[in-house]
Amino acid sequence: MIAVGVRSRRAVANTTLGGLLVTAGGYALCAWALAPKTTPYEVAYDWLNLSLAYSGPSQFQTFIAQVGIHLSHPTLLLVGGCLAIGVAVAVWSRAGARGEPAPARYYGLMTLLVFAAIGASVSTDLAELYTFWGLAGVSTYLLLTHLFADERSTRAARLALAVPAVADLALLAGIAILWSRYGVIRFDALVPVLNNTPGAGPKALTVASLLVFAGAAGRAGLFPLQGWVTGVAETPPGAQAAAQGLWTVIVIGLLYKMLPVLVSAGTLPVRAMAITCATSAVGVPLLGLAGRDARRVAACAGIGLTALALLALFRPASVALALTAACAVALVRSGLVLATAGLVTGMRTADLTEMGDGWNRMRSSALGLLLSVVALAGLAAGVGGGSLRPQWIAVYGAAIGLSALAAFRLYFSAAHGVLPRRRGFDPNRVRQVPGSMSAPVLFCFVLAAALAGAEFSARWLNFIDGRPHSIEPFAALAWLGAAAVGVLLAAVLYWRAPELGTRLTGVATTLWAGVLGLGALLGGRFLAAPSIRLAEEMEDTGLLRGESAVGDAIERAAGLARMPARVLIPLLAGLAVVVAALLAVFAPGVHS
Amino acid sequence: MRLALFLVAVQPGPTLVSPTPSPTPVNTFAANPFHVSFLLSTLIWLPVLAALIIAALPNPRGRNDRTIYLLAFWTNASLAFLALVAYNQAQLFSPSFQFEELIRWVPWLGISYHLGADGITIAMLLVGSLIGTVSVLASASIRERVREYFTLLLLLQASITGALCARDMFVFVLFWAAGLLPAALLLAGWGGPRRHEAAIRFLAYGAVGTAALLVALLLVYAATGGASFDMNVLANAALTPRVQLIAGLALVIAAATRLPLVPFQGWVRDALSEAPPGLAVMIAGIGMRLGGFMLLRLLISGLHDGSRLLAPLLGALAGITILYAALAAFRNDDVRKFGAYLAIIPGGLFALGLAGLTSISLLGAAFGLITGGLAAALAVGVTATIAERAQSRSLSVLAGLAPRMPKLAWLLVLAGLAVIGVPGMASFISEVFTFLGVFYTQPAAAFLAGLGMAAAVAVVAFTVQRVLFGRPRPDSPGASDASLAETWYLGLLVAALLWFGILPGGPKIGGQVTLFDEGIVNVLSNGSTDVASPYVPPAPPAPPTPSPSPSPSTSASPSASPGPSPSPSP
Repeated sequence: MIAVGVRSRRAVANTTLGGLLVTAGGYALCAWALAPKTTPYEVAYDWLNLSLAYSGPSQFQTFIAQVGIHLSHPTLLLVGGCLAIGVAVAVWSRAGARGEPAPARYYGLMTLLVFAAIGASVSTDLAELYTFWGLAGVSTYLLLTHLFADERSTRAARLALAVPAVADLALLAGIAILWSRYGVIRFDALVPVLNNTPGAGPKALTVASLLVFAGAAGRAGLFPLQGWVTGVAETPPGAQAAAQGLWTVIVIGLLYKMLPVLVSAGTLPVRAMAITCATSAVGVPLLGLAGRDARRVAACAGIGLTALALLALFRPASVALALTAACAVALVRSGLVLATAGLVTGMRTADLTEMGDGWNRMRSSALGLLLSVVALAGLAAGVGGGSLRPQWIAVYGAAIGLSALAAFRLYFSAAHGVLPRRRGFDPNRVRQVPGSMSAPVLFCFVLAAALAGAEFSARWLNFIDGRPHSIEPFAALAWLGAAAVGVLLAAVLYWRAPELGTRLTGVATTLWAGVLGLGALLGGRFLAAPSIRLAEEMEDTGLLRGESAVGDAIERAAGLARMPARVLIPLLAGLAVVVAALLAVFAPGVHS
Repeated sequence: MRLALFLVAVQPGPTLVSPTPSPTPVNTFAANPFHVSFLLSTLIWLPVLAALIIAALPNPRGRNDRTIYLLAFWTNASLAFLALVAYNQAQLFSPSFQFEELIRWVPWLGISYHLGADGITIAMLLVGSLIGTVSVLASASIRERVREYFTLLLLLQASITGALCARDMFVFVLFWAAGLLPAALLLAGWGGPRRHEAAIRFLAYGAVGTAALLVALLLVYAATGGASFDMNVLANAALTPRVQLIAGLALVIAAATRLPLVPFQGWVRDALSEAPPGLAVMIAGIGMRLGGFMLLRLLISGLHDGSRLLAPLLGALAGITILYAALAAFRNDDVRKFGAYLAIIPGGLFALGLAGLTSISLLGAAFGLITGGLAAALAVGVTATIAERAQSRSLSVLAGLAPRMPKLAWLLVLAGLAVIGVPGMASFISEVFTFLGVFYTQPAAAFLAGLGMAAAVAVVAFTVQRVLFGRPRPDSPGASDASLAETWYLGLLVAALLWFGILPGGPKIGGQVTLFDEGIVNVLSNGSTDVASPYVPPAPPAPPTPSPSPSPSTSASPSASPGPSPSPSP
């Protein structure tokens, strides 16, 4: 678009939407052709085909990286999720992003992000996946920071580059360890050699698995790297919705492709990953209760739900369920962000204590928000399974309840109660947002609901992974009970007794601010400040002192030339003897 | 050429050997349209000839400034064309050096005017000539003593090219040292307010490096019996590990003063921040890479035991350098110094690749010479241009520049992304290769470097936001966007990074048919494969043939979910 000079807002919006719809049409054809088949379709072109060595282990003599497309039923699901999110955000942006100063840049970067997400989903090897992963990361950052003149937005967006960098490097480290041990990067070639390659033991596999998972966890926004998701609330909502939704799909795609590697590492690493997911599933929605920014609360609720979906991946025979749930979660997250953005725009505040009465004044936006939070709570219940140990039952119950509490806190605060009058703001002038901002939310809900329903279809699950499945509807009902508890609690705290809710939120905010402040203080005092001070010392004084010392030494050496001959000559003779001795010692033939 | 013949003529018993002709063309579409003899000598001495012409050209009251500028530009453009010819005609599967020229110079000392190029050299020559062209474009704003400026710039270009092509260690050191003086004079004559201090430091560190290089050279010369300075002799000599270690250490010190590596990085900040843009681009783009090239050519290729012994040291220095550069950039308040610190990071990554001593890490290091040079040149070039256009260097004053200088804003973002290595940029591929190879042999150094890269990403994110975005300060001077020449020279660097990043294997039709470019990584692997061959571990012994048993079916596609998983069954 930029290359051909498409500039006007409507033209770029139409071009973007047109491109996505054409892609969706192609996707539909591929899905139709591939659906009855059980074998995946794959095509690949050599991007790099290098000869590295003429001898040594055969797997390290060449390096081949391909640009490939691997289409199977699971990847069709992932690609469909990417396209649906892309279309939803593009449609929403027609009205929601009409104030963006550079539409060509905005839509161009969004298209690039969707392209990268699809590329990562259909990749055939680790190099291709990491390339698209990095491309998605860069386009996410550029998209979030694209409001150049808005200091708050760009200040928030820099977190999107800095914080996930650790996760991306961890992923690269994991890939590097796998390559260095096995010499293969294709997914289908990696699986058969995991346990029968000499020199590659469980330790390397464990480290690689944990690093790969760390990369995925960081981009999914799991604790403690949730800051790049929750801290970018000031950035354009369309960008946030695209980032949160698409990264959920990319992450589940990575973990799905790497699952054989992860589980081959043994029980302990998988347990560690499951605990990380569980911690985020419980902790991040809890963090969402600390604070009053509606966008941040929505992000926290979404992260909790994503963590639950990832947790399902580590249960036996739940891969298809986890994939379906994660795609549904991605749609719900995008819809939730867009719905929240509509209400924030209409009420001109993101502070939940300053919002209210959305059901009467912005009915369709409030409805969209309600559907999103219902889908969120329902999905949370859907990913819980049966046959769990007691401690995991407690974890699931807490996570589902807290996710529902966080989500419905958002709804009750924004949709019900009184919309207070503020300075410069008249509640009677609140108007419903345009239909193109509400329709995408409903679109996301419908698709997510369909996928949530499909979780209970053995036929669907069998279609995804080709294995038989047994459905446990009663377990889902039990988990719905946990979600209902969260909803009820939210209704009590944030609708019927808002003062109590506000007080609890205040306490939680203070506590979390204290923890953050302490962490910043400790990190600054013991890590950042000493390191930066060391660099300062080195640059400003250390180097100068060292150079002065060398200069002084040279000057003193030059002073030797002014010494009288009777001192200098014996000194030089002695030096010559020493040098000759050293040369003699090091000459060939003395030490062999 | 006449000089070479003259030098030969005055020596007793000269042996004049005609150069090997350019290689036989291969069947690649649009490849090999030209044949050139004495290609490498032409690349070296053409800028010297142009420098002499410029020096002799009268320039009363600056009337011939434009002519001088155009002469310098077209000289470099011609060099770029010739380098492209060499790149195009490179024989990818030739085991020996190509375009060789050999003239015995001082036979009784074993000194020869010996030039040659393998894949690594050819790629470096291509990028070096591009950098030379870009540096001339970046010097369009030079108004004072234009004749002297371009004379020195061309001499600097020639010395760097000579060092790249040299196959005789003595000639290599000559060219290595010869580049110091023009660079120091350019810095002292046309630099910023602290140019004299910067030039003295540059010269001092360069002298230390040259001294270390001389120590290594003489030690190896003596240890090989004093027969020859030829690099082939070095590569085939059986030196003791002790000699290799000492010589290697001296080479590391010499390279550390040029790349640079901690603790010899003191000159970079001042030199790159005070130099005029053209000189800064030349130094960052190709001058600093010479240190790495020297390590690759002399240490890794020649001193195998020494390389193995020094690999942990190199890895540690690499990690510390990257982390240090990121931290120093973070606390800095000068946009040009920010660019200078960013320019240090590719050198650290290169050293990390060398420390890995695996085939792929050495290929990554070799590619890192190219990509690191381009990224560093872009970083120092764009920060220098921003400082000029915004009329301030202080990060406390610069803010909200993006709306007022959109082209430079994009270029600064791209420069930052190029240094940290994002997909699409050539530095991404070199970084991936480096890390793929280093984790096997130097995991601690790799983790330290990774930490440094993470810090670098944070620094780039914070500084870019601080400089480009947000509301401009009311007390900041007026800012204007890049001029046409500035856009061109920075754009050329970006284009090169994108070309090598998106098509490192060259453009192909249908993934099979190669068009006019064989691919820079393929050209590089021609050289790096030979360099890495002594370090390749032996293949493991074939496992004993197992007794016949039913083979388990393996899931060859990730579309099938894995079998019973040893999960904690939550």
